Amino acid sequence: MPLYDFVPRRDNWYVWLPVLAALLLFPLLVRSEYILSIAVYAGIYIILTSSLNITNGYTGLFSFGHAAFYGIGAYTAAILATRLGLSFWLTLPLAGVVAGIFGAAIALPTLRLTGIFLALVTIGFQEITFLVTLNWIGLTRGPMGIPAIPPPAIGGVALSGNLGYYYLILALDVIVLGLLSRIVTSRVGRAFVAIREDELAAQSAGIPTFRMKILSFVIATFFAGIAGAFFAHHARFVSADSFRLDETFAILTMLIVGGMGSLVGPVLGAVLLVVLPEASRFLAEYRGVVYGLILIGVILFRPEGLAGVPGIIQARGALSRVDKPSGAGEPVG
Amino acid sequence: MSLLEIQSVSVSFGGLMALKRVSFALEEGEIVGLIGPNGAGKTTLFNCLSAFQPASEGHLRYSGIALETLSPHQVAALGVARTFQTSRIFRRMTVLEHLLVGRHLHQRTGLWAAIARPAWVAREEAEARECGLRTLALFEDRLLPRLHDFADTLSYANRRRLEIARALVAEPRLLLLDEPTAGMNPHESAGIVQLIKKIRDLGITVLLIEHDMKVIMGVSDRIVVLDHGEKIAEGLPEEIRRNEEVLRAYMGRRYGRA
Amino acid sequence: MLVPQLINGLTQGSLYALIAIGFVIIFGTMNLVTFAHGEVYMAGAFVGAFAMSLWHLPWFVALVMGMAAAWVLGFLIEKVAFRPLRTAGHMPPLLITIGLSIILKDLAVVLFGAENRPVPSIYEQTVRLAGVQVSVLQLVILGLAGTLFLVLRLVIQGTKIGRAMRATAQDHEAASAMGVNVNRVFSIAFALASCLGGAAGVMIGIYYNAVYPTMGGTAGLKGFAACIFGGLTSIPGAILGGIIIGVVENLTVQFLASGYRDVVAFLVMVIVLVLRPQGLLGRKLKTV
Repeated sequence: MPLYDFVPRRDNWYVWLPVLAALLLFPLLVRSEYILSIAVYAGIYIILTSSLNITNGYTGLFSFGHAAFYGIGAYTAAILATRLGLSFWLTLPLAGVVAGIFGAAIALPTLRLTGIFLALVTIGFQEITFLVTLNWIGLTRGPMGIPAIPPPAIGGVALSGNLGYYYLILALDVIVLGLLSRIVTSRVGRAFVAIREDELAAQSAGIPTFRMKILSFVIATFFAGIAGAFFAHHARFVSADSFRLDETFAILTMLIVGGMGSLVGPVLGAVLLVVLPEASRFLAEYRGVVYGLILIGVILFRPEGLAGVPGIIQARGALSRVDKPSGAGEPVG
Repeated sequence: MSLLEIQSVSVSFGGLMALKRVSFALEEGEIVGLIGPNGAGKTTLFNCLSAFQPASEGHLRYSGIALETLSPHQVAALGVARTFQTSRIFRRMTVLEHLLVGRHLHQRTGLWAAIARPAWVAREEAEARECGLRTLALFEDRLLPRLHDFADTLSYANRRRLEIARALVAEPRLLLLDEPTAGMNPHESAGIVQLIKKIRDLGITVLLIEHDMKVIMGVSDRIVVLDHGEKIAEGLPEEIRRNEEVLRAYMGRRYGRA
Repeated sequence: MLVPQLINGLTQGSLYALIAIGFVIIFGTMNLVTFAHGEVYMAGAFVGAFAMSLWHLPWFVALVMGMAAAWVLGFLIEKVAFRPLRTAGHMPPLLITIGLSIILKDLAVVLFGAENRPVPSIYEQTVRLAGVQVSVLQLVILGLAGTLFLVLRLVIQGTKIGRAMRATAQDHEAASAMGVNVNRVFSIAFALASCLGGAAGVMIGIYYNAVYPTMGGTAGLKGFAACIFGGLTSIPGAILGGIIIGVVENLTVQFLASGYRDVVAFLVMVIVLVLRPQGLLGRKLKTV
């Protein structure tokens, strides 16, 4: 069975028990605050890559604005927690909802576009979000960021060390992956993949493709918002710089390296690319170079990534609006 | 009332008339062949019927419902299924998954049900699987042993069969087949003729575009002939076989003028 | 206050236009989008800045050096990112150039530091033209951009390689059948596009007296927005788009808030893509 086929199902869920047990025991073996903080970050990126995978991998819509929705979630949580004093357990779902609403608002006018044009519109949206965050000082405090976000409290006890955050993100990851796995193995997920594979055939099978594409976008952005809320309550400080285009590209690189269109791929990619730069000081200093080289290498030599479904990047559905093999026109002066 | 009424339908692409006031009707339970030389407008008519291509003028009525204002998935929901001239399969889905997608209209699992998985979701999936397997049985042992194979590993003929199967599991009332035997050998084509008859016996009306005259004459109850976007003839297979104008259209204008 | 802002806008806009033309040349001939164009521009800017501040060369020598460096870089990018993937669709080359842009930006940070590097000022005097004070530097930039537009037009219309580029833009296979070396055309088109980006980089460094590693990101996107405005395939459209974005930006600073100036380009990009994906001057693209 190819790795990309490895979906947690009712008949094979026990395969994941040893993995879960190892993850539960992990902090007891490594009692290093530093290693745990890396693990927490890997956990956040698992949500980000897995949610981006819903649009880019399963539905074949290339969104390049994921960090913007991540940021919207983080700022929603930060503002609600610091201004209204809402607890983490309320800001978490609300951040997802707000990011999802933004996702729907962006998707409605732009999902007529496909491929490269969709990618470019989402990049434009990404930059606009960044600039608005930076300049709407009344809401976001602009370049100063929002500090002093309270940590999550469990049973009245606020989390202090990374140990608590580790178990929290582990639980969140299990829930998110569980939800995503149920979605992609259902009629809804089949409709997403059908749209990716052949939109016209999907339509003539009765799939309302436009509505399903919006749904796919909303699911992806909802979970990006969830990741953002966790980030805000973990870092306890948010600033616009954390959610720039570079961040989108980092998430995208993790997704592509891990592999699109499978549940395992994004998890592998996120863990690998969060951990790798920490392996040595040299790699950490050249983090961008490492990411860039890995991305190029994967695209050139293994476009399906570690555990992705082959051929999604080159898929016909992923091509641009300009479905023409040769030149698009004449560059005439 | 006819199942499908095509009333004076025209389609123009930037001034070029692909269809000119074409009219004909399909009765329930018929197999109607749609023939004509390349570029006659056959596929354009299919695209109109499945709402991929708006008609510039004219009316399309399917059991009394106007199709002009609908989108493709709504037409499908009315019970009109189709295949495409160049196979449009889902390359990275298995044979079984194609059939489940084909059952989309008969299922109702949405986002919340997918997440909560109430018991009826499992029943619905099992039903879709059953129906898929029943449909595959129509193709004898061509597709059944390949249930879990990815579609892009199938042979060309099997891809065409898979497309028909995907359309059939939707239990359509009207099936539009666009050159189902293209690229098949005579033996395989004969199998398709048998299949189309079986499909009719299921009570499904079939409109069939086909280049293979043996197939079309062998299976059609009636035949409609298009040439340069116009209907030039309509009738029983024997009538069409003897029709002068049809011969001219097929043989080229040289004979026609002589 | 309006007229000076218009002139500022025109100056900046003409530099955006130079970047935008690069996208048009690449998309026009190869039907692909590069994401590393901003970093090519940044590289050109750094070479120009070093030529002037470290080696004390005159600005026009710095300009030629920056353009030459960008030419070489563009040539290499085409070889690495585009040639192996010519038939793989739009997304793989785009992703590779995203990788390249991350690498180039990071390398620049590691090698030169993340801070601004000063670039010596030139032509600080102003002249009075028709009753308005205009800086000589702005006139030089406008003149230079105009000259480059003209040279480009002559190259495309009047030379053998220009004809080959136009033929390739029409149809790769037909051009190749007619004896055009399509691979060579791609190399030269990419290098030419990069070279214009490098020129814009050197001039912007001189204009703002500073270069920095992340300067390419926003500039590349703005150039792209300008070229979208012209529909990706029209050079006049790209020039117009660049100038409009430059002018509207400066008017935003004047009448709104300076923080929102960069929003203009992206708003234009999103609105044009959503409402009129073929751009305002571009041909209608064939849809799927």
